[in-house]
Amino acid sequence: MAESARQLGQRLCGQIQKKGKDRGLLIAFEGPDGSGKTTQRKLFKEWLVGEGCDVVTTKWSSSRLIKPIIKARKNMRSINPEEFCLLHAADFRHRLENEIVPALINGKMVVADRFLFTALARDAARGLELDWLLHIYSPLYWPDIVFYFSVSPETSGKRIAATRTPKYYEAGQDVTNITDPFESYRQFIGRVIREYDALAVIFKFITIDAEAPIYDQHLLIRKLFQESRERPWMDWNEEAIIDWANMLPRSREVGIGS
Amino acid sequence: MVPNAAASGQLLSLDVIDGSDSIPAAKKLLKSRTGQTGISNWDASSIFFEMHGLDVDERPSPRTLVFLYAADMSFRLRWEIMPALQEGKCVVAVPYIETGFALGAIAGLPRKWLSEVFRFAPKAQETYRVNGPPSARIASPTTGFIEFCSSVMGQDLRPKFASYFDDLERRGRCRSL
Repeated sequence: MAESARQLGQRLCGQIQKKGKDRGLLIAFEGPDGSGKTTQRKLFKEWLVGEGCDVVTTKWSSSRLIKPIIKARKNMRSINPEEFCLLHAADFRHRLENEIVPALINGKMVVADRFLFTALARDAARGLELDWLLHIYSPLYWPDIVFYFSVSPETSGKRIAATRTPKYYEAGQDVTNITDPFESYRQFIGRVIREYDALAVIFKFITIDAEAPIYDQHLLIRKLFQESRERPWMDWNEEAIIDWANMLPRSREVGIGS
Repeated sequence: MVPNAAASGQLLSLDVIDGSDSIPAAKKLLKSRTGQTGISNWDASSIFFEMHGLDVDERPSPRTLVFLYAADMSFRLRWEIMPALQEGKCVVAVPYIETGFALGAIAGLPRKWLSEVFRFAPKAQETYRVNGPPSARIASPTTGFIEFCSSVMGQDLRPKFASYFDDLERRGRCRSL
């Protein structure tokens, strides 16, 4: 008799669990714009590769299927907070199903430059209810480790202003109604950081002082990573894996299901 | 997130199997109505049209399709449906949220999750479906959401959607047009 999606999902979970320390890990780099997380993510990835890991990077709003749709609407400034949320949720789900979960199942290390917490922080800062957002993103797929790059709104604003003018949605001009992108950014990023700080407590992020010297941060991340590899993965992600097995013919193509 | 209940117009929902039936069926439904009327059709935001034109071999899963459908629905509510209701018009939303629920049910997505996704959409005062067998040939993916889903999922989903709406009608939750 053919294996049901639930059975396949449970079998995949069992196989991943059996790998123990050798299974692929999902490491998320979170934080506001200008917190330096991309720099740290690149350094961390290089280090992992040097350690012999097979590493996959995934970036926010980057799926080949949904990204062009989001980009076109951002350029036209035509989306409201709900549409912003739903389109990013579509992009996230598509990458989760097609890039992240398959890579993890195949034992790769996945480094995410922003994960679902970016959506929670930004959308909540746009006035959407956190409760609704958590439902939208369910079944939630938990990273093994979340590094949260903490900076003040002033530092974030200064770092962004030093390189460019914040874009319309980045500056939150869709919700602040402030014409000056720098002033809008200053106000909006304060809201985003407040949401991030709350999420950091609720979801037990590892907070990194993103105002510390770059190399000090990198060394700390390595150390914290080495100390915190053991996570109760099965308890947290079984539902998401079963859902994935149920949704995609792809789950039968990644090799581990046979 | 709470649907706007202050509007004075009337919202009618109409779910169709063949996308090409949308406008004729909506016009038929509005024939007996007095006063100003309006129609809000699928993909007013052109998300699906644009996606169809992308040269990408990846396919969205049903959950992703529900998100995209909801995003288009949110757009239609903001630009078409709510403004018309606020002007006191009778508006036919063709299709409406039941088509999104139908895809979710067909794909085995939890009802609770679907209800949350569409929490922003106000309930229609009257709910209709176009009854009758689907046309012999399935139209192009840009004709309607069911055609789009059928194309993406590689099977003609129209009988499954029809069966979902049959069940809704049996339970008295929609009427045949």
